[in-house]
Amino acid sequence: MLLYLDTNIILARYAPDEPQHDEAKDLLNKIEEGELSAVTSILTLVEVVCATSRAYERFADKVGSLGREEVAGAFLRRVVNIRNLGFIPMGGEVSVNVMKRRVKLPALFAMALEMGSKTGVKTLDTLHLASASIASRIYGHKIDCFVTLDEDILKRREDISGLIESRVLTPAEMV
Amino acid sequence: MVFGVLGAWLGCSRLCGVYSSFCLGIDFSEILFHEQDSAEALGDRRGTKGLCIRNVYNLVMVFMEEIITSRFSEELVKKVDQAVSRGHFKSRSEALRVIIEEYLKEHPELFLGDGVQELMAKAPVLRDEELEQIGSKLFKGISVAKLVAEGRG
Repeated sequence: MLLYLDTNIILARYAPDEPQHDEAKDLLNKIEEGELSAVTSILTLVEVVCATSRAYERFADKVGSLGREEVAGAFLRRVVNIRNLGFIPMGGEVSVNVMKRRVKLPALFAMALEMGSKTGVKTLDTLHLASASIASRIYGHKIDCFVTLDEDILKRREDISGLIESRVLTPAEMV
Repeated sequence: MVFGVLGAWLGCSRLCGVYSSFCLGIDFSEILFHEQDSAEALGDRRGTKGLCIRNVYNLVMVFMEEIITSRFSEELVKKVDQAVSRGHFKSRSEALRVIIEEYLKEHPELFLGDGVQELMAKAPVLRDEELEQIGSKLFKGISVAKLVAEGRG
Protein backbone atom coordinates (compact mmCIF):
# COMPACT_ATOMS: atom_id res chain seq x y z
CA MET A 1 0.00 0.00 0.00
CA LEU A 2 1.38 3.39 -1.04
CA LEU A 3 0.45 6.40 1.06
CA TYR A 4 0.95 10.10 0.52
CA LEU A 5 1.67 11.87 3.81
CA ASP A 6 0.72 15.49 4.29
CA THR A 7 3.09 17.61 6.40
CA ASN A 8 0.63 17.74 9.29
CA ILE A 9 0.78 13.93 9.70
CA ILE A 10 4.54 14.03 10.20
CA LEU A 11 4.32 16.89 12.69
CA ALA A 12 1.37 15.27 14.50
CA ARG A 13 3.68 12.33 15.25
CA TYR A 14 5.78 14.72 17.36
CA ALA A 15 2.87 16.60 18.94
CA PRO A 16 1.53 14.52 21.86
CA ASP A 17 -1.38 16.92 22.38
CA GLU A 18 -2.61 16.47 18.83
CA PRO A 19 -5.90 14.52 18.76
CA GLN A 20 -4.56 11.99 16.20
CA HIS A 21 -1.01 11.85 17.57
CA ASP A 22 -1.19 8.12 18.39
CA GLU A 23 -2.54 7.20 14.98
CA ALA A 24 0.08 9.36 13.22
CA LYS A 25 2.82 7.76 15.33
CA ASP A 26 1.51 4.29 14.55
CA LEU A 27 1.41 5.10 10.85
CA LEU A 28 4.97 6.42 10.80
CA ASN A 29 6.22 3.43 12.79
CA LYS A 30 4.66 1.10 10.24
CA ILE A 31 6.31 3.05 7.42
CA GLU A 32 9.72 2.91 9.11
CA GLU A 33 9.31 -0.80 9.74
CA GLY A 34 8.51 -1.34 6.07
CA GLU A 35 4.91 -2.46 6.59
CA LEU A 36 3.72 0.48 4.51
CA SER A 37 5.30 2.57 1.76
CA ALA A 38 4.89 6.32 1.77
CA VAL A 39 5.82 9.39 -0.16
CA THR A 40 5.50 13.10 0.40
CA SER A 41 6.42 16.25 -1.46
CA ILE A 42 9.74 17.99 -1.02
CA LEU A 43 7.48 20.87 -0.07
CA THR A 44 6.96 19.02 3.22
CA LEU A 45 10.56 19.72 4.18
CA VAL A 46 9.99 23.45 3.80
CA GLU A 47 6.73 23.28 5.72
CA VAL A 48 8.32 21.33 8.58
CA VAL A 49 11.04 23.95 8.93
CA CYS A 50 8.61 26.89 8.68
CA ALA A 51 6.00 25.40 11.03
CA THR A 52 8.51 24.47 13.74
CA SER A 53 10.24 27.81 13.38
CA ARG A 54 6.90 29.64 13.71
CA ALA A 55 5.92 27.52 16.68
CA TYR A 56 9.28 28.27 18.28
CA GLU A 57 8.47 31.97 18.14
CA ARG A 58 5.39 31.41 20.28
CA PHE A 59 6.94 29.00 22.72
CA ALA A 60 10.60 29.99 22.74
CA ASP A 61 10.75 30.27 26.52
CA LYS A 62 9.56 26.69 27.00
CA VAL A 63 11.85 24.86 24.60
CA GLY A 64 14.99 25.19 26.67
CA SER A 65 18.53 25.77 25.49
CA LEU A 66 17.97 25.00 21.82
CA GLY A 67 17.79 27.93 19.41
CA ARG A 68 15.17 28.37 16.71
CA GLU A 69 17.42 27.11 13.91
CA GLU A 70 18.51 24.14 15.96
CA VAL A 71 14.91 23.13 16.65
CA ALA A 72 13.83 23.58 13.02
CA GLY A 73 17.00 21.82 11.85
CA ALA A 74 16.50 18.90 14.24
CA PHE A 75 12.99 18.27 12.89
CA LEU A 76 14.20 18.66 9.32
CA ARG A 77 17.03 16.20 9.91
CA ARG A 78 14.61 13.65 11.35
CA VAL A 79 12.07 14.01 8.52
CA VAL A 80 14.78 13.61 5.88
CA ASN A 81 15.84 10.43 7.69
CA ILE A 82 12.41 8.79 7.95
CA ARG A 83 13.00 5.35 6.53
CA ASN A 84 10.89 4.26 3.54
CA LEU A 85 9.56 7.77 2.98
CA GLY A 86 10.17 8.96 -0.58
CA PHE A 87 10.25 12.61 -1.58
CA ILE A 88 8.52 13.64 -4.77
CA PRO A 89 10.67 16.14 -6.67
CA MET A 90 9.44 19.19 -8.56
CA GLY A 91 10.22 17.45 -11.84
CA GLY A 92 11.73 18.75 -15.03
CA GLU A 93 10.51 21.85 -16.79
CA VAL A 94 7.36 21.99 -18.84
CA SER A 95 6.78 24.85 -21.26
CA VAL A 96 3.51 26.70 -21.17
CA ASN A 97 2.99 28.58 -24.43
CA VAL A 98 0.55 31.44 -24.63
CA MET A 99 0.66 33.37 -27.90
CA LYS A 100 4.33 34.24 -28.38
CA ARG A 101 5.18 34.01 -24.71
CA ARG A 102 6.73 30.87 -23.30
CA VAL A 103 6.98 30.25 -19.57
CA LYS A 104 8.84 27.30 -18.16
CA LEU A 105 7.42 25.61 -15.06
CA PRO A 106 8.55 22.63 -13.02
CA ALA A 107 6.27 19.65 -13.81
CA LEU A 108 4.79 19.89 -10.31
CA PHE A 109 3.62 23.45 -10.91
CA ALA A 110 2.17 22.55 -14.30
CA MET A 111 0.17 19.80 -12.64
CA ALA A 112 -0.86 22.19 -9.85
CA LEU A 113 -2.13 24.69 -12.42
CA GLU A 114 -4.31 21.98 -13.90
CA MET A 115 -5.59 20.84 -10.50
CA GLY A 116 -5.95 24.31 -9.02
CA SER A 117 -8.35 25.23 -11.78
CA LYS A 118 -10.56 22.26 -10.87
CA THR A 119 -10.62 22.59 -7.08
CA GLY A 120 -10.88 25.54 -4.78
CA VAL A 121 -8.11 24.45 -2.44
CA LYS A 122 -5.28 26.68 -1.31
CA THR A 123 -2.07 27.03 -3.28
CA LEU A 124 0.17 24.86 -1.11
CA ASP A 125 -2.58 22.26 -0.65
CA THR A 126 -2.82 22.10 -4.43
CA LEU A 127 0.94 21.52 -4.65
CA HIS A 128 0.57 18.54 -2.31
CA LEU A 129 -2.28 17.13 -4.39
CA ALA A 130 -0.22 17.64 -7.54
CA SER A 131 2.71 15.84 -5.88
CA ALA A 132 0.46 12.89 -5.09
CA SER A 133 -0.68 12.80 -8.69
CA ILE A 134 2.89 12.99 -9.98
CA ALA A 135 3.94 10.26 -7.54
CA SER A 136 1.42 7.90 -9.12
CA ARG A 137 3.08 8.47 -12.46
CA ILE A 138 6.60 8.10 -11.09
CA TYR A 139 5.89 4.89 -9.19
CA GLY A 140 3.72 3.46 -11.92
CA HIS A 141 0.84 2.71 -9.59
CA LYS A 142 -1.50 5.10 -7.94
CA ILE A 143 -1.35 6.37 -4.40
CA ASP A 144 -3.81 4.35 -2.34
CA CYS A 145 -4.43 6.98 0.32
CA PHE A 146 -3.71 10.65 0.68
CA VAL A 147 -3.39 10.97 4.47
CA THR A 148 -4.00 14.40 5.90
CA LEU A 149 -5.39 16.37 8.82
CA ASP A 150 -5.99 19.44 6.69
CA GLU A 151 -9.59 20.53 7.22
CA ASP A 152 -9.84 22.28 3.89
CA ILE A 153 -8.76 19.17 1.98
CA LEU A 154 -10.95 16.90 4.11
CA LYS A 155 -13.97 19.12 3.46
CA ARG A 156 -13.51 18.66 -0.27
CA ARG A 157 -12.35 15.08 -0.11
CA GLU A 158 -14.93 13.71 -2.54
CA ASP A 159 -13.90 16.02 -5.37
CA ILE A 160 -10.21 15.61 -4.54
CA SER A 161 -10.43 11.80 -4.40
CA GLY A 162 -11.73 11.80 -7.95
CA LEU A 163 -9.05 14.15 -9.08
CA ILE A 164 -6.04 12.33 -7.62
CA GLU A 165 -7.66 8.91 -7.95
CA SER A 166 -7.05 7.90 -4.36
CA ARG A 167 -8.89 8.01 -1.08
CA VAL A 168 -8.39 11.00 1.19
CA LEU A 169 -8.26 9.88 4.82
CA THR A 170 -7.16 10.95 8.29
CA PRO A 171 -4.77 8.67 10.23
CA ALA A 172 -7.67 7.60 12.47
CA GLU A 173 -9.68 6.55 9.42
CA MET A 174 -6.67 4.62 8.13
CA VAL A 175 -6.56 2.53 11.29
CA MET B 1 47.92 59.21 -29.19
CA VAL B 2 45.45 57.09 -27.24
CA PHE B 3 43.05 57.21 -30.19
CA GLY B 4 45.88 56.28 -32.55
CA VAL B 5 46.75 53.14 -30.61
CA LEU B 6 43.10 52.28 -30.22
CA GLY B 7 42.54 52.78 -33.96
CA ALA B 8 45.47 50.54 -34.89
CA TRP B 9 44.28 47.91 -32.50
CA LEU B 10 40.74 48.06 -33.75
CA GLY B 11 41.99 47.98 -37.31
CA CYS B 12 43.21 44.46 -36.69
CA SER B 13 39.92 43.49 -35.17
CA ARG B 14 38.56 41.81 -38.29
CA LEU B 15 41.64 39.63 -38.41
CA CYS B 16 41.27 38.91 -34.74
CA GLY B 17 37.61 38.06 -35.10
CA VAL B 18 38.11 34.37 -35.78
CA TYR B 19 40.66 34.01 -33.01
CA SER B 20 38.58 35.87 -30.47
CA SER B 21 35.50 33.82 -31.35
CA PHE B 22 37.40 30.67 -30.63
CA CYS B 23 38.57 32.16 -27.39
CA LEU B 24 35.01 32.70 -26.19
CA GLY B 25 35.83 36.36 -26.01
CA ILE B 26 34.75 39.45 -27.81
CA ASP B 27 34.18 39.36 -31.50
CA PHE B 28 35.24 42.82 -32.63
CA SER B 29 33.67 42.36 -36.02
CA GLU B 30 30.38 42.01 -34.19
CA ILE B 31 30.96 45.22 -32.31
CA LEU B 32 32.15 47.43 -35.15
CA PHE B 33 30.46 46.31 -38.29
CA HIS B 34 26.77 46.03 -37.51
CA GLU B 35 25.79 49.45 -38.75
CA GLN B 36 22.17 48.54 -39.33
CA ASP B 37 21.68 47.14 -35.82
CA SER B 38 23.30 50.17 -34.28
CA ALA B 39 21.13 52.56 -36.19
CA GLU B 40 18.00 50.60 -35.38
CA ALA B 41 18.89 50.29 -31.74
CA LEU B 42 19.17 54.03 -31.41
CA GLY B 43 16.17 54.77 -33.59
CA ASP B 44 18.28 56.78 -35.99
CA ARG B 45 17.00 56.35 -39.54
CA ARG B 46 20.14 57.83 -41.05
CA GLY B 47 22.31 55.34 -39.30
CA THR B 48 25.49 57.36 -39.11
CA LYS B 49 24.84 59.05 -35.81
CA GLY B 50 23.52 55.83 -34.30
CA LEU B 51 26.54 53.97 -35.55
CA CYS B 52 28.94 56.42 -33.93
CA ILE B 53 27.23 56.49 -30.56
CA ARG B 54 26.74 52.76 -30.61
CA ASN B 55 30.38 52.18 -31.46
CA VAL B 56 31.56 54.44 -28.68
CA TYR B 57 29.30 52.50 -26.33
CA ASN B 58 30.62 49.21 -27.69
CA LEU B 59 34.18 50.39 -27.26
CA VAL B 60 33.50 51.20 -23.63
CA MET B 61 31.95 47.75 -23.24
CA VAL B 62 35.11 46.20 -24.73
CA PHE B 63 37.06 47.48 -21.75
CA MET B 64 34.45 46.23 -19.32
CA GLU B 65 34.32 42.72 -20.74
CA GLU B 66 36.75 39.96 -20.19
CA ILE B 67 38.15 37.48 -22.66
CA ILE B 68 38.07 33.89 -21.50
CA THR B 69 39.96 31.17 -23.31
CA SER B 70 38.23 27.85 -23.45
CA ARG B 71 38.70 24.63 -25.37
CA PHE B 72 35.83 23.05 -27.29
CA SER B 73 35.57 19.80 -29.14
CA GLU B 74 35.32 20.00 -32.90
CA GLU B 75 31.83 18.61 -32.66
CA LEU B 76 30.70 21.32 -30.26
CA VAL B 77 32.20 24.07 -32.40
CA LYS B 78 30.39 22.58 -35.41
CA LYS B 79 27.09 22.74 -33.54
CA VAL B 80 27.64 26.34 -32.55
CA ASP B 81 28.61 27.25 -36.12
CA GLN B 82 25.49 25.54 -37.38
CA ALA B 83 23.33 27.67 -35.06
CA VAL B 84 25.16 30.78 -36.26
CA SER B 85 24.82 29.90 -39.93
CA ARG B 86 21.10 29.30 -39.45
CA GLY B 87 20.81 32.82 -38.13
CA HIS B 88 20.04 32.04 -34.50
CA PHE B 89 23.06 34.09 -33.46
CA LYS B 90 25.08 36.81 -35.12
CA SER B 91 28.40 35.20 -34.34
CA ARG B 92 30.09 32.43 -32.42
CA SER B 93 30.84 34.90 -29.69
CA GLU B 94 27.20 35.88 -29.31
CA ALA B 95 26.11 32.24 -29.48
CA LEU B 96 28.39 31.22 -26.64
CA ARG B 97 27.45 34.25 -24.58
CA VAL B 98 23.72 33.56 -24.97
CA ILE B 99 24.11 29.84 -24.31
CA ILE B 100 26.06 30.50 -21.11
CA GLU B 101 23.60 33.18 -19.98
CA GLU B 102 20.64 30.85 -20.57
CA TYR B 103 22.32 27.99 -18.74
CA LEU B 104 23.08 30.19 -15.73
CA LYS B 105 19.49 31.46 -15.70
CA GLU B 106 18.16 27.91 -15.65
CA HIS B 107 20.48 26.74 -12.89
CA PRO B 108 20.00 29.02 -9.89
CA GLU B 109 21.37 26.23 -7.73
CA LEU B 110 24.84 27.24 -8.93
CA PHE B 111 24.54 30.43 -6.92
CA LEU B 112 23.10 29.02 -3.72
CA GLY B 113 25.24 29.17 -0.64
CA ASP B 114 25.74 26.43 1.90
CA GLY B 115 22.81 27.61 4.03
CA VAL B 116 20.99 24.28 4.14
CA GLN B 117 24.16 22.35 4.89
CA GLU B 118 24.95 24.82 7.66
CA LEU B 119 21.44 24.40 9.05
CA MET B 120 21.85 20.62 9.04
CA ALA B 121 25.30 20.86 10.58
CA LYS B 122 23.95 23.03 13.42
CA ALA B 123 20.94 20.77 13.99
CA PRO B 124 21.35 18.36 16.87
CA VAL B 125 20.69 14.68 16.22
CA LEU B 126 17.72 13.93 18.46
CA ARG B 127 15.90 10.68 19.12
CA ASP B 128 12.14 10.48 18.50
CA GLU B 129 11.48 10.64 22.25
CA GLU B 130 13.49 13.85 22.52
CA LEU B 131 11.73 15.39 19.53
CA GLU B 132 8.40 14.39 21.02
CA GLN B 133 9.40 16.08 24.25
CA ILE B 134 10.28 19.27 22.37
CA GLY B 135 7.08 18.91 20.34
CA SER B 136 5.00 18.69 23.52
CA LYS B 137 6.23 22.18 24.43
CA LEU B 138 6.50 23.59 20.94
CA PHE B 139 3.01 22.58 19.85
CA LYS B 140 1.30 23.00 23.22
CA GLY B 141 -2.19 24.40 22.87
CA ILE B 142 -2.10 24.53 19.09
CA SER B 143 -3.14 21.93 16.60
CA VAL B 144 -0.32 21.13 14.15
CA ALA B 145 -2.97 20.77 11.45
CA LYS B 146 -3.92 24.40 12.08
CA LEU B 147 -0.29 25.47 12.34
CA VAL B 148 0.49 23.97 8.93
CA ALA B 149 -2.78 25.30 7.44
CA GLU B 150 -1.95 28.75 8.79
CA GLY B 151 1.35 28.63 6.88
CA ARG B 152 -0.54 27.74 3.71
CA GLY B 153 -2.38 31.06 3.89
